[in-house]
Amino acid sequence: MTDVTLRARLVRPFQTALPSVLSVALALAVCFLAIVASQGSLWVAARAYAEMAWGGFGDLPKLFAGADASALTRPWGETASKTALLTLTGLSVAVAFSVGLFNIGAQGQMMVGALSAAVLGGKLALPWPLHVAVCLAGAALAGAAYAEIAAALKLERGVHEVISTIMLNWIAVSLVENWLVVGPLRAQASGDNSISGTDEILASAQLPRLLGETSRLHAGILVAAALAVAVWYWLARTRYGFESRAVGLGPEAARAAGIPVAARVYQAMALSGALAGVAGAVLVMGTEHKFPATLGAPYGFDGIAISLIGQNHPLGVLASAALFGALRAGGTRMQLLGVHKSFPELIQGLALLFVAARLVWETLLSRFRREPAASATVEVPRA
Amino acid sequence: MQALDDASLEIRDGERLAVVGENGAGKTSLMNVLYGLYQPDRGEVRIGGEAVRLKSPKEALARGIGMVHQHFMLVPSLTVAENVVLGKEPARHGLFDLRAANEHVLATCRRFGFALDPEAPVESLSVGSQQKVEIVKALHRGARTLILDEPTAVLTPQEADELFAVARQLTAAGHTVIFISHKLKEVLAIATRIAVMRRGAVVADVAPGATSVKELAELMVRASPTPLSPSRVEREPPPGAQLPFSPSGAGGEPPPATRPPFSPSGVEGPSTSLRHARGERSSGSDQVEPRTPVLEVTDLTARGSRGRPALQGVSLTVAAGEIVGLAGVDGNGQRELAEVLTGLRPYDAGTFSLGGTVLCNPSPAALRQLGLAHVPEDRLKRAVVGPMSVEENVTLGRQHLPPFARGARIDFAGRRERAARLIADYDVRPPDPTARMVELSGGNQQKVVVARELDATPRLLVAVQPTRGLDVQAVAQVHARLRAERNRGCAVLVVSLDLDELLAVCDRLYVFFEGRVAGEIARARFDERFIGRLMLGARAETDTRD
Amino acid sequence: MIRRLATVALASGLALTACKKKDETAPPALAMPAKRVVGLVTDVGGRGDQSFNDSALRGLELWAAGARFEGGGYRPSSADELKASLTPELASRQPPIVPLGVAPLVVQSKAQEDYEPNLELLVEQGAELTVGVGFMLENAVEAVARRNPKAKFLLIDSPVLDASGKPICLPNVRTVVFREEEGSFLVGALAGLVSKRRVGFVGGMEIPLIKKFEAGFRAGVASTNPAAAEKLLATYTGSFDNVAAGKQVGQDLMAKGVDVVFQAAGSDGLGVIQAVKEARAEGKDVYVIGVDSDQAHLAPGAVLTSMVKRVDLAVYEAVRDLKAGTLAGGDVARGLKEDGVGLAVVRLDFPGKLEALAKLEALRQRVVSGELHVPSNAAELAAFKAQP
Repeated sequence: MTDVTLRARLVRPFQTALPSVLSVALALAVCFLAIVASQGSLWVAARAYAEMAWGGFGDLPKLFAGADASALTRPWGETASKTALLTLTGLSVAVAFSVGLFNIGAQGQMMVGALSAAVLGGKLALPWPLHVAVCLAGAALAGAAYAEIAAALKLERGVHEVISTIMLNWIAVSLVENWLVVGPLRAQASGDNSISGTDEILASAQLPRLLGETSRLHAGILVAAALAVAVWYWLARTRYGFESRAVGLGPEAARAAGIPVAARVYQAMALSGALAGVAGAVLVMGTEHKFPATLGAPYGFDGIAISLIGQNHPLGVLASAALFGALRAGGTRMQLLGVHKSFPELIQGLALLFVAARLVWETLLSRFRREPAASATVEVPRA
Repeated sequence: MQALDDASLEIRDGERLAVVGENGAGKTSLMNVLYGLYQPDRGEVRIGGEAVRLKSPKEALARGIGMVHQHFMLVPSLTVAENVVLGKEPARHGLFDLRAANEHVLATCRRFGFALDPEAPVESLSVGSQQKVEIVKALHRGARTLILDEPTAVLTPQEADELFAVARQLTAAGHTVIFISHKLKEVLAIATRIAVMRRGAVVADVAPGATSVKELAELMVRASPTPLSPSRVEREPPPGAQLPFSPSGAGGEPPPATRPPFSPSGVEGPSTSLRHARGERSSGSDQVEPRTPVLEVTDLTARGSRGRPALQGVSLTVAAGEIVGLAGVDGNGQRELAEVLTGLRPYDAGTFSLGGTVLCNPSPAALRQLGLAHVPEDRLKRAVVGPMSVEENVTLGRQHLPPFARGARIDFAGRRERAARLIADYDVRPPDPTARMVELSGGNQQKVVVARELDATPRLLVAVQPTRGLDVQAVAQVHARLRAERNRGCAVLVVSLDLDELLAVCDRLYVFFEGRVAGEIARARFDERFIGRLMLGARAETDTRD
Repeated sequence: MIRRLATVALASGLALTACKKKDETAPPALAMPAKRVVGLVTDVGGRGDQSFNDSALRGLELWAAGARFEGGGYRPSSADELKASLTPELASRQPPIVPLGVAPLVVQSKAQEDYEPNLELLVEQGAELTVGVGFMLENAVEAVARRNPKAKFLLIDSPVLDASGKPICLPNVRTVVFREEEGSFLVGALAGLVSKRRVGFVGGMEIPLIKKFEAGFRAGVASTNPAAAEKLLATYTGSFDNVAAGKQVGQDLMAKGVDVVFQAAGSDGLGVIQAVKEARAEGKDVYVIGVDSDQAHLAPGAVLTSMVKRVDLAVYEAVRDLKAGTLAGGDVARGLKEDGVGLAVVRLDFPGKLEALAKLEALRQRVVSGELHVPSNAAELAAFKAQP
């Protein structure tokens, strides 16, 4: 390996990841102090963090105390389901970001995707692997189509995508949750019983459980990880990905270089919507097995945080989703100690805040390095 | 890398000090220290004998030091007065007092002889006027010492002269003006003292009367690794151009007695005059006979960015093996024409053809396929993607072709190899294909752009302001590359606001005025003063003479 | 910078060890004594919803455990606090409501897909009985109960249903549903007595559950004021979370002459209450009847009474049965007889209040004794009206 490639392969990724790693560490520390403050006990905070770790990564003490393997597999299952969803919505945001669009609409795209999967899974009768594929594809198409509305508004009418995707989120909520799921598509229970959400999907459309019935670990995590690698390959290794990044980083230069800017934006937005749609499908086909009364946590919005903390890099997204999936799956256990339910989200929010305040970080870091620009390693370009 | 190495500089009250040096010699870094943007590792800044630590531009301004950057820091939608007072607004009853602002700006303008309308939005102003707004802004904030970073790089000769007049006024009023410049001729004309920088140090301090362009150039590059060939120094100045260029309006002198040969466009074909010109070309005898036209533009009409007409029936041709220049004061349609020709601006009427293919609002991709290469004016915006690496930028425009791609996949090995070769050929520094483009200096960025565009062996090269902001050596390198392309048989179209540059490299010139070709001049008949008059709209006069 | 962070981490690590040592001497403040653990999983509404979840939490924490949740921990509650939370009917119940000495373990759910792991977590933590609050937890309770046959569960507001929506029975799950029609019947009877012009009903979504409210309410009005029952106006807002829609519907009904309106519409109902409150402020003689819990505090003076669902009592009695060893699986329907539904205290005065309350009590007795069957759907309602 030459010196240059060594730098490119090892040093640069490390430098890129460093602010995120520090931000997460700082967020964990601040949140720890907040728990200490609210509970008035360092010991409780430490135990709460330990509980979170056992709940997220596997309950090792319980395993050593003689419990069966479910002490590990059950936490893994919860972490994996959350990681899968966060990865997919994070990728959705990251892909749109690659062409310079800020897709706030992953939530809405996820919702239409989830509904498509629920309908296709419940109404179609197909053999097992095919049915799963059809549901995933249908959800991806629905999400993509929904995202293309925002892309078209942007390119044809100049409507800013932040505005349009926020509006489209509300339209999705009204259309799907407030009408279809409680109206025409509502599951029918016998007699006077009430049942929430749509009909359950058929067994042939469910994502298979990987570790038996005690753990909810399902194939969704494989789908998400595979897509993360695929998106990384597309962005980093193909010329289409390169062109998309060029459009995102320098739209005018990309245009002057003959890159079809509009086509790349449509493509990336379609992919972004498709990923969010698949997230919805994974939620429906993996754990819920129907479109529930309300579509889970706002994973679409979490995707923004996950993507930014992952530096908009597909593999960074996967890593940050895995971390926060574990923290959130395990974070529930902090409640056992009386710690408020919102702390796991607080960690994520703080980490995002610190990443967003990266400039501040970098200033601080450079001050610590004590490297005034007059002897800096690069000639400062005139700007 | 160290930008400054024990640089010492003394600035005296009321002088016009020019700081010259190559790109990367440390001129801007030194001024940034003075302006509080950088802090020195060692050494100090003394003002009036008192050592001070300038930690920010705010502190520098408090000490009366102001700076006008090469790229203006103005809010385009605000008016002149609003821009000037921004950050230090006059207030009445806690509210912004627009009237006071206007009066204040007007007073400053009158005092120093600026012609600025305080209520005009900045986006409607020419580059030269915007620069004046920057100067007024610095004065408004209390600057007594004014640092101008390459102030004439963006100006027409006329505007540059106006700027020099302003500088004289300022120093007459007791202010101090510091210029950073590459243009030695200008420096000699305006400065009262010249400091030469090389490799981070001030190496010479000379009086303009006691030196020459040649000597300055030698001081700047002595012991440089590559031999110097600054075109402006070597070029044979055309007759009547020894004097510093002065606009016809200001000088009031008629054109030289020998009437410059002139042929309005369309009246006389370029071929005859070209044949004259070729014999007189300064460089080389290995040129290719101009052959078939590569670019033919007929009656092209297009609108500018705000819908106003920018091109009003332009016709011109560029043949293989010639360098054709577009001269004109900024904003007379040259830029829009370059944009049309590179597929970045739609046009309303007329036609143009490239290599015999007649086109209709073609895309940049289609034009590149036909053999267009483009060195755009706004480097960071249009030519390069700053956050991407040098090697990634090298592929732009041909990212889908070998050696940069194999099918849909990026060919990393081929890309690295080609980038490394171009970096070596063009002496790009640092020689690291993975360096991010923004980490390179402007000159090195431009080297990458030129390397990339010429690597495609184009049939037509459109270069807009190709040497803007480059040092003498880099300018020479770019010019040599342009000539080499011509000699290879490429049709080269150069758009520049720097008339010296056009006179140095072009075989033929079109002068633009108000969206029309005001004249076409072959090299044999190049005459700075006459061209200057054409640039200012002297067409009617010449028409009557024809 | 990195070194500095490392130092901080190290320092806090030291602090932790120090703290640990200290804690070994004294038992941790939050460690539960060897009490039987009862778990509870809220739905996404969570603690502090002023309704369903809070009611269930009251039953478990204040009544069964004799504890109050404050500042992230439990403290023992006083007897007065418990007494203050009981209505006269509850206070006179036999056996009395007294703390049962269990330890509550509560997990709040943040998303639909968290119900299952949360129930699982409580079982894992040793909860002998785990309460799932709300019909949204039906799937999750079923799944976890099947996996943990030794643990017991209480599911509020829904039977366990199979995939096709038919009720099934699991041996370790008690499900509680409420005969809302009986409570609605009583408030309907009261509305019929109080109304001088017209009676109205506002439902949320038009689903079987809410239809049950309407049927009981209509029957109640018919039993005291047949003329008003004929003119009764019933409207559905179509949602449970649209306060504005509820307010609009409420104003609409009043414009049509309604002076007593019963709402069973979730958050939309809060809009109805708001509309009546504003109308009263303008001097109109109108009343609203609340639902689920006593909603009088939302608009004192405008809320005639509320049809309360005693989720707290259902939870409490399940815990009591657990202690007594009599908690078995199966569906329980709780109506007036079991104090599963009832009337909140009528605090307002109106002409003929005493007679009206006496009449209501008589009707209640007839329902409790089984003499009167309250209709729970449109068909039964028609049959009910047909009888003399």
